[in-house]
Amino acid sequence: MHVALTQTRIEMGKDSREQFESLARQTHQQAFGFAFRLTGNAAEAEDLLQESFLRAFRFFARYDHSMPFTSWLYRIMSNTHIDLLRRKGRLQTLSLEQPNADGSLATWDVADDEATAEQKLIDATLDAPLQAGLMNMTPEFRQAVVLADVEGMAYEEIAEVMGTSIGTVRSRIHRGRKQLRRYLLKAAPATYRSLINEL
Amino acid sequence: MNCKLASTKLSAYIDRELGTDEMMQIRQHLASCSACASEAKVLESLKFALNRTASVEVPEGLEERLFARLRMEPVATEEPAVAPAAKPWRLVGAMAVAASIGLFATLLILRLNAGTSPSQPTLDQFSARTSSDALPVGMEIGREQMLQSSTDPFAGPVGGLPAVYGGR
Repeated sequence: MHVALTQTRIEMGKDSREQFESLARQTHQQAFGFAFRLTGNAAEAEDLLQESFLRAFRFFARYDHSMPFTSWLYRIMSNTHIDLLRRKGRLQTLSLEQPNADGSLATWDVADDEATAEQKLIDATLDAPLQAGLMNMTPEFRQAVVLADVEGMAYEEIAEVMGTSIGTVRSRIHRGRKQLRRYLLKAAPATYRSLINEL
Repeated sequence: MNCKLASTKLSAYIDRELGTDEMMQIRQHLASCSACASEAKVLESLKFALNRTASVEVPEGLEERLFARLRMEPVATEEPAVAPAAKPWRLVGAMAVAASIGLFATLLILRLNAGTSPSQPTLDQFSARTSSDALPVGMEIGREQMLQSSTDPFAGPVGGLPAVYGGR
């Protein structure tokens, strides 16, 4: 499902706008998912997505085509996300009951066709407290955990995306998961118990 | 391996991001320590839960809005001007030279005007005033403003890409 585009070949003669739009078409849905996990609501995720793609387009001449486009884009998104948080001067948190900014409730598209209907229901139920737990993390920890556990990236790739060392990535992921555990224990103990008992 | 050391490596262990020796050491420790084994299970459960979170539904019209915005953006014909953050000593050096020239010129003017104008400030008064007055003019420029692309007409407050991207 995820697009890595590691070996994306781009015809050198093509217009750079065409090249960029082709990559954007292949990656924007996946990137929106990443943005949503970072921001916690659709409106802010779309803002982050647009701003990140604009920055990527402006600096497309600097993109090293030997690396996955998504890694480069996620690096821009990670930095843009932190910039936007700093500009707003807040670390946004999301309670379990809080709706989206537009007043609607978050909706989730369960894409795993192999999962049973019962499992889909469980996953959708678990999603809200997990997302709320992500929103209560330190932003850098949240980025590292989402890249590792939702996007499935290896530490080396996360270090590349976050522009830091593998040791820092290791620390951020570990501390992020511990923040998530503390949040679930306090705010959603029933969810926490069901998660632990599943394994 | 003791619990304190093992606990810092549990996430990397469940992610299989440790070397062979460390993986072996943690495995042996977990076999003999129920507290750490329980901690590892919790962390693995969280990883598993996040890994299978449902994919996010993309809002209707997102693609159209994104591409409409992108098409308003002109194609960059050359690399945008970005502050050379990789060599900050150059900026510091330039500022030091400018400050030295300014100080020298000030001293020269004060010496030339000495005795001709009683209202001129002394060197101490001048230094005290410039040290407080100069900052708002010359120094309080945000890092983001310094990194703005001068060639980009759409560059807003978040238009500049931090130089830490390093060409990537």
